Order: sequence, then structure tokens, then C-alpha cells
Amino acid sequence: MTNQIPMSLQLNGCPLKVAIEPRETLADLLRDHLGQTGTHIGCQQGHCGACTVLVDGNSVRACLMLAVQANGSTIETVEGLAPAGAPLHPLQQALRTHHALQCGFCTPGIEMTLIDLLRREKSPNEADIRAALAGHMCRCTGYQNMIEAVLSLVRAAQSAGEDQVPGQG
Amino acid sequence: MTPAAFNYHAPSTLGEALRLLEDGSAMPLAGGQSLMPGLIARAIAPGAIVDLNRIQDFPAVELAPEQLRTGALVRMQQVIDHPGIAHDLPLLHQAVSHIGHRAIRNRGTLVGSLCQLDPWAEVPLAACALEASLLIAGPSGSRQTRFSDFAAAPNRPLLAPGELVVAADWPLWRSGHGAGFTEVARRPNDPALACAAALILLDENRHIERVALALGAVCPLPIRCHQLEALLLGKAADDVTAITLNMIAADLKGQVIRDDALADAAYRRHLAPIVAARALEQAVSRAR
Repeated sequence: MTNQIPMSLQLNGCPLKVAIEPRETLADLLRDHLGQTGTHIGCQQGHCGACTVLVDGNSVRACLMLAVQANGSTIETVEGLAPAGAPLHPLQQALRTHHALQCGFCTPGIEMTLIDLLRREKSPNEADIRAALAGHMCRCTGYQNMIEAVLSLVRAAQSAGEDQVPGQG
Repeated sequence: MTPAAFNYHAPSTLGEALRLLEDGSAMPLAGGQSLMPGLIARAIAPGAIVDLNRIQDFPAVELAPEQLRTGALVRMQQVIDHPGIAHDLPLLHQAVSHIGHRAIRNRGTLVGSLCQLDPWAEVPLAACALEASLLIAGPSGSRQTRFSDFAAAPNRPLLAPGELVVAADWPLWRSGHGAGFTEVARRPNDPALACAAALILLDENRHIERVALALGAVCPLPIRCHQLEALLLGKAADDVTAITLNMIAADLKGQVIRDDALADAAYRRHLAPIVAARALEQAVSRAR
């Protein structure tokens, strides 16, 4: 049965029109139909956080949203942090420098959550970062280096006299 | 896995939604944080999904002197971010702050949690403590029901076919009351093994003028500890811990105590007085 529903959305700044079955999730749309495989599917229950993206500026589990519900919305995924050819986003560079990823499976979801945090909190402290990371399962790293990475960005922004850590994707 | 196929509707009015829900195999979708896992696991396979998210008719957040009304699409994160709710109904603010993770709270709704009726859930526990009521619309019109009647069984609210919860109403306690909310869980924001919601009003001598204490996750549904409440009335605020630890067992007598892989019944019985006492202590410390 293919009752495809037409929809439009903005993905990482690009306006798109697609048609999709209502039973497909936003994660399915991104990965299977739009080739944006940076968003990962782990548990399909909302626990692991690997599928986290930003919808209209809010963090959302892409596996728990029907694709058609994103009709008319603005979506940001990990691919938008450093479009092809661009240098790594400061957050990505910090995570790399601090060895905060190993297999990388959880990383895109964590990055989108941290981008959301950095946009909302001028200078997140360790407790804020831990609370944000609590929604993500990582089996490789033990999280500590992720915390160090974000704190290093906060310190760098403070010493540069900047109002906010760069959070724009 | 991919959900089984369904017809999808996104009505823009409540009336349209109710008409679509007359089809017995249609299910409403709001936040989706409980419905979607069920669809994905194919534990449920409705013939149609009625997406409520485009409807403009639901009340939003209406904070009045005597009650708070939260409409069907009010998200959990909205409640946390609302300064009026944090000030006037701190129990609800505290309860919702314990829920899941931000991405869950950005989509999940208060009303959805009340309809889902998970034994460990924070919103039903707050509704039990505050004696919330629900505004329900259906084929035969609107009705108001007390949460205690609505919560017929875990995961089985008392909703007739074609009915939809439009809003939840939360009575406010007098300014100066104290609220406490506490959980024991294996990890932060995991489902609670035991949780408690407490409300206390003290008189000018710091004796208990009014009290409500509800326990969650211990029994299949949240329970009010009315016997403990009766014992606490008139007592000094400082006596709250000793009385709770010693006397709460009476309210558990005759209740089904949940026993599962996360925690057996003995552990839950052990936790019940502890979470109750902690919640009451918090409430006392915040009461003026």
C-alpha cells in the first residue's frame, strides 16, 4: 500500500518537497529518502538518543515522530553542522580534540542535543552538560571527555569575551 | 520495525477529530512519545491515526487564581518553562522536571501522560496528589471527570470509544504551601521504582493544616495515603518524618504491590516510606 502524502520541509537550510507514506518516521525520511544517514537509529523507543535532531529549534527523537508531522517544519541534522567542504563546527572540533568519540554511533544525536544546549545556556556548567547527556546512551567513551570538550568551549568563549559559545549549526 | 500501514488524518478542528475518532480502529496522536514505540513494535496496529497537532481549538495554558488548565497539546517542557506554574503550582513543575529527557519533553504532553497511565509516571502521580480533573469531549458532548475515576487501571483510562481528553484541570493550593516530589530510579530520569508527591500547608505555629501525600510506582496506579494524611493533620512539621516512616504501612495494606524485574515487591515496600518521607520533608522545607 503506498498512500504517499506530499510534504515540504526545510532541511539544513534547503527547502525540499517529498512524498512519503504516513507510517514512515522522520528518521526514515532523513536516512532512507534523503540520504542523510548521519541521524542514527538505535532503540526505536526514544531511550538511546542516537536519532536526536532539531525540529523548529527543539530537540526531538526523529524515531518517535512521523515524517508527515514535520510538514512545514525546519529540520537541522548533524550534516548541517559542517556542510561538505566546510571546516568542522567548533563543537565537533572540541569533541575530536578531547577524544570524545570512538565508534561515533551516539555522536550525531549528542551533537544536536549539545547544540540545543549551547543555544539556550550562555555558559553551561558541568551539571547542565551532564543533564543534557543523560538522554543519550554511549557505550564507548564514559562521557567524561564530552563534558571536558563542552567545558573547553565555554572557557574559550569566556576568555575571548564572547557572549555565547558558538551554537549555530 | 516500520509500523503497519494506517490511514493518516491531520484535522484542524476538534470537531473534525471527534468525527474521525468515531471509527473504532482510529487512535489519536499528540506527543507520540508512548504511541510511537507501540506502533514501531507493532504492539498496536490502528487502521487510522488522527494527528491532533494541527488543531487550534484546544485550550493552551490557562492559569487562574483557583486552578490551572492545561490543554491537550501542552508539552511537558512548556510546563517546566512556565514561570507562573513554577510559582503557583510547584508540585507540577517538580513532577514534570523528573520526566525523561528534553527531547521527550519537547513533544510529550501532560494529557498524553494522563491517558497513558504508566504506573511509574510523574504526571498521573501529581494528578492524584492534586485531585486533578479532566475535560473530555466525545460523541455525546463534553463531560468533566475526576482523575481518580478516570484512572481505572494501568494503561486503561476510563474513556468511551470516540472520546478525547481536551484539557486537564489542576486545583491550586493556597500561596505559602510547600510541595515535594521525589523518585528512586536506577539512573537519572529512568522510570521510577518508587516516587512520591507531597503538598503541605502549615499554620502560624508550623503545625500541619492541610496535607496530601501520593505514592507512585509502588502500586499499579498512584495511591493517596489518606490514613497517613489523617494522622499528620495538626502535628508539628518537624514530626513528619517519624510519623511517615512508622505509619505509612497502613495505607499499603490490601494494595497490590508491583513486583517485576526492575524491583521486587519487598524492595518497593522498603522504598515507599523513604520516598514519602523525603517528599514530605521537601514540602515542609518549602512551606511558609
